[in-house]
Amino acid sequence: MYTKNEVQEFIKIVFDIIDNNKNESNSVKVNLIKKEVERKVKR
Amino acid sequence: MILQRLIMTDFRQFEARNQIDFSNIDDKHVSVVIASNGVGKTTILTALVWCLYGGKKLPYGDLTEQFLNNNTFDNLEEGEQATAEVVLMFEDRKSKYIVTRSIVVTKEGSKQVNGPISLDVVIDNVTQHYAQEKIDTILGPSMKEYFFFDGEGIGKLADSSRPDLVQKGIKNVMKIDTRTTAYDLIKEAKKTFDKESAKIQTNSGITDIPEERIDQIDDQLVVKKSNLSKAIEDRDIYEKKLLAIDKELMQIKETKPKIEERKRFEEELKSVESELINAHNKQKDLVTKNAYLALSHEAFSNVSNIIEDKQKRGELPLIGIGKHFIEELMKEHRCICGEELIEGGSRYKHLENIMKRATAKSELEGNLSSLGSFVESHKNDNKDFISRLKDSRHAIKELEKKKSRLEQEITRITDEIDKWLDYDKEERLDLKRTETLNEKDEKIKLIAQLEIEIEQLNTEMKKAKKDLEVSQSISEEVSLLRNRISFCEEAMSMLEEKNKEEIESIRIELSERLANRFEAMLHSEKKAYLDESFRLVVVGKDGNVSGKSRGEAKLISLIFISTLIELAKEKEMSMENDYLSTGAGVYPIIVDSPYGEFDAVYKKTISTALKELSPQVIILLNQEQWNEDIESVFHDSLAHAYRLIAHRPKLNYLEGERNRVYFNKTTYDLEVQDDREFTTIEKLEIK
Repeated sequence: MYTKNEVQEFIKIVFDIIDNNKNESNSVKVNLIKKEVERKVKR
Repeated sequence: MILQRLIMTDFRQFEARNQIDFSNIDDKHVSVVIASNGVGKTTILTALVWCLYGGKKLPYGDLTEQFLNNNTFDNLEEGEQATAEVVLMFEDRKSKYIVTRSIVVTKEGSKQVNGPISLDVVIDNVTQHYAQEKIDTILGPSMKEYFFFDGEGIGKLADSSRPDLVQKGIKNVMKIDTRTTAYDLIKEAKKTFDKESAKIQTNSGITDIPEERIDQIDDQLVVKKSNLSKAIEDRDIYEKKLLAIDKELMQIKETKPKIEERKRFEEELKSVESELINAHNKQKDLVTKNAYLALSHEAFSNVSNIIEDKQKRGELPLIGIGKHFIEELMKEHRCICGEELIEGGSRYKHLENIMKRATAKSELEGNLSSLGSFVESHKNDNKDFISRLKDSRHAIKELEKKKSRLEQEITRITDEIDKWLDYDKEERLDLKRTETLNEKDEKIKLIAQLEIEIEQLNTEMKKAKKDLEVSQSISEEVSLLRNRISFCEEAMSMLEEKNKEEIESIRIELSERLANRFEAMLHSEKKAYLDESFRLVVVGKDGNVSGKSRGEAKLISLIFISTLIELAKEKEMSMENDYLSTGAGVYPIIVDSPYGEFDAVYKKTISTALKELSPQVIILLNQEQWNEDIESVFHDSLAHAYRLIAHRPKLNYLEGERNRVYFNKTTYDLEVQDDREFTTIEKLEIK
């Protein structure tokens, strides 16, 4: 599956997404997070 | 978040444009606004909160739906509109924000009719689309109660029934809310995966597990097919029963004509019997009338032979033979032809006559000779008689055969009639037939129903099997989505765990600092701390929890907030190299009338606490609350000081004195005479 480090790295990216997209709506941020999940958890 | 400037235009008491600047430069982080009561202190607190969070009603004070300045309103024509506006400029994490909130007010008679409220947020010169969201991200509406206080509000954090306020404050100020935001956003992302997964399954039309459905249908089919076999078996049994009943009924039906047939046979039998009697009579008559011929012939022949034989053997005299022979015949009652002789009968009489004539031996011989002649002369008659007798006997025999046959036929028919001709039985059979037919019909209906159900189940089975194929093909896609959902859940769980850990560690740290500061400020034997349930607790000398006085409640609340902000600031500056750290916020504290009715010592203690509250403190107070002691506490930290000047047609003298404030060794008026009522803001010089 995935390691604790991978999950922590993902959370850090989520924080970055929140920080770097202050001017964007929540749906934009959700979409970026979703893409990040898709990148992390592939087929 | 550090406030820089507040501009109020035609807002409440403030006619036209009025501006207050705030600052947190170095250690000059305190701003004071001094005004007499009712002039506009609370309006400033209100303007700050309304500008940030909006609302159709103002958050503090009276007349909460009155936004527009009265003089501006009075200058309007009927139906004319004017705008009340508040602009707040602040800095947060090196970005400059300009928030403008305004409301359009229409004059309708003496009434202010409020129109739409608009919000404009500019960050670093860029106008934002999601304006309110931007503000809420920095300082959510739930946080305002930790930074904007009216006089009474300060102490409410110390209310032991509201540990949730304390806990929420910690989460918000320590920016654990950023982690909560991350949690919420990941949760939303997870929801999109959930929806996609559901959509794939919905689009496939499969809402359940096809394997389970197949098993269920299979079970149902086994039961239905078994029921069908049983129903078919039952139907066949009823079918056979009906055939048997119908056969019996048919036989009963067929028996009815046999009565007629028997009647015909009986009539025929009667006729044959009658014929038979006639034939017997005729035969008797024939024999009676003609038997003598045969008798004569036979007798003559036999007697001749016997005599001759006897004579040859010398056993018999030649006389008296005839008489003797006839006597013998008559004694034995036997005719010469073999027939029985009945005394008095015609044959007997005939023999008696012969006997009479055979009394003499000459006569006997003569008579025998005559008999011989007679026999000879009636030879043809005798033949004719014998032939007719044969015919008669044959006819009688045939009639008797016919009679016997008819009797047998009648017996057979009678037996059949006796066997079948039973009207009760017919009725019973009819009833049984109806019942059986109904039962058979029921079975036929059941069979049809079962066949339909089996057909439906077969159709469902086909669909389930097809679904299974589809399900297997989409399961890979769904499995991937499930992994992504699971990944999101893992991250959410980690954030939640981290929050829990951090809140507890913050609580312990806060509790220690709170206790130290409380002790340092109050120099009392009482101690304060933050307990495990997030209640701000004061304990007495004996270690028991004691009730808090209003002063203690305010003080412990202020100390809690100040220690919380201090910790947040330290955290932001250190920013541990931890993936899950989010940094904490820096916020101003705005307090309206903090002292209440406290004595001078308490006021000074509270002032000291206030000064240390936050990197930016804004205090709104009246001239009575401001004195040299208080000024001495704040003096070195003061960045800006303002007085609000009430413009009035008639001045309010307070105990014979004008409303004034003594600030920095100078006395300032807090009201001036004017035609109209309104408030202006004047900056006080800080030396």
